[in-house]
Amino acid sequence: MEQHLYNLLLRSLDAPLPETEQRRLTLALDTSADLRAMREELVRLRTGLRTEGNESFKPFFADRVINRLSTHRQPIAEYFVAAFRSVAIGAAALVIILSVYNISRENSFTFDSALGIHHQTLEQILALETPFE
Amino acid sequence: MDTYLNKLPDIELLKSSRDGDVGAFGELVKRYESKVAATVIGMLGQCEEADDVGQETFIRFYHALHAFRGESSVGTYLTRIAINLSLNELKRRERHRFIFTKLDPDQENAEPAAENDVDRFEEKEILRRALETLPPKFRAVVNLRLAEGYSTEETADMLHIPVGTVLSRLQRAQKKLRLILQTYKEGY
Repeated sequence: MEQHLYNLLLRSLDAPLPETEQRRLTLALDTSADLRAMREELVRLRTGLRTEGNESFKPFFADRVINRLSTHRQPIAEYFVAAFRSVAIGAAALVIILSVYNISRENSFTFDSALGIHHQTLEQILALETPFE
Repeated sequence: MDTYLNKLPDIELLKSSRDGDVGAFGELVKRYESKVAATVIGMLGQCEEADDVGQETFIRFYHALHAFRGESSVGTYLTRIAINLSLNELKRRERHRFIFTKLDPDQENAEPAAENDVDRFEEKEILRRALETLPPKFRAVVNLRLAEGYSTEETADMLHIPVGTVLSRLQRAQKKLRLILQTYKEGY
C-alpha cells in the first residue's frame, strides 16, 4: 500500500484530518476494500495494544530506584573522565606533535629532548648572564 | 512531604533533583513509572528483566539531569531511554536465544500456544503475546506508534530512523501480526 495513504490512515485514527486529506482518504476507502480491511485491523490492534496508563513494575519500584541511586553514586573519577573526555584526544595529539617536533629539532631520541629540556652547566648559565653586567 | 511534592510541576521537581533532592526525583519516578512500564513491558513482556530495565531507565535519567534541557517532555525523554535500553536487552536475549526459545524474534510464523494455554488468554493478551514474537525493530515501532500513541514523526525521532522506515516497518509488522493471530485463531 502507498505509504502516504497508510500514514493518512494512521493519522485519521489519532485525530480528525484536515478537510482535503479527509476527502482523499474517504475516496480511497470507498474504492478499496483492502484499505477498509486494513483500517479495521489497525483499529483492533490499537485498541488491543493501547496501554491505559495502568502498567506498573513490581511494588515499591520508586524506592528501589532511589536505593540504587544512593548506593551507586557516580564516583568523582568518572566526573573527571567525562569532563576531560572531549579534549583528551586533541591534547594527546598535541603532546605527540610537540614531542616529535622537539625530537626532530634536537636530533636525539631521548626523553629530555622529547620534552624540550636543555641541561645547562653552571658555567653556561653564568656565561649567559655576563652581557647584562 | 509527599503531598507537597506531588503538587509540584515537573520543572520544579527537575530543578530540585538537579540540586540533589532525592525526594523530588523519587516523585518523578512515581509520576512516570507507569509510562516507562508501558514501554518496557510492551517491549520485553512481564519479566524480571523489565523491572531492571525500568530502574536503569531512571538511573540514566538521573545522571543525565544536567544535560536535560527540556526540549522534549520528561515522558518522551524517558520513553527514548526506555526504548533504547529495551532494544539492548532484546539484543542480549537474541545472543542467548537458545535459552529464550519462546521469545525467538526470528520466528516469523509463531507456533500456536498449547490449546490449554490459548484458553487462558483473552484477546488482548494474545495480541501482547503475538507482539512478543516480532523482531525487536518491528516491536519498537508497533509499541511506540500503536500502543503508546506517539506520532509517526515522534516514533522516527525516538528510534533515529526516517519516517518512511517507520511506516514500512509498521506495515510489515501489521502483516506479521495478522499471520500470527490467524495461527492462534486456527489453534482455537
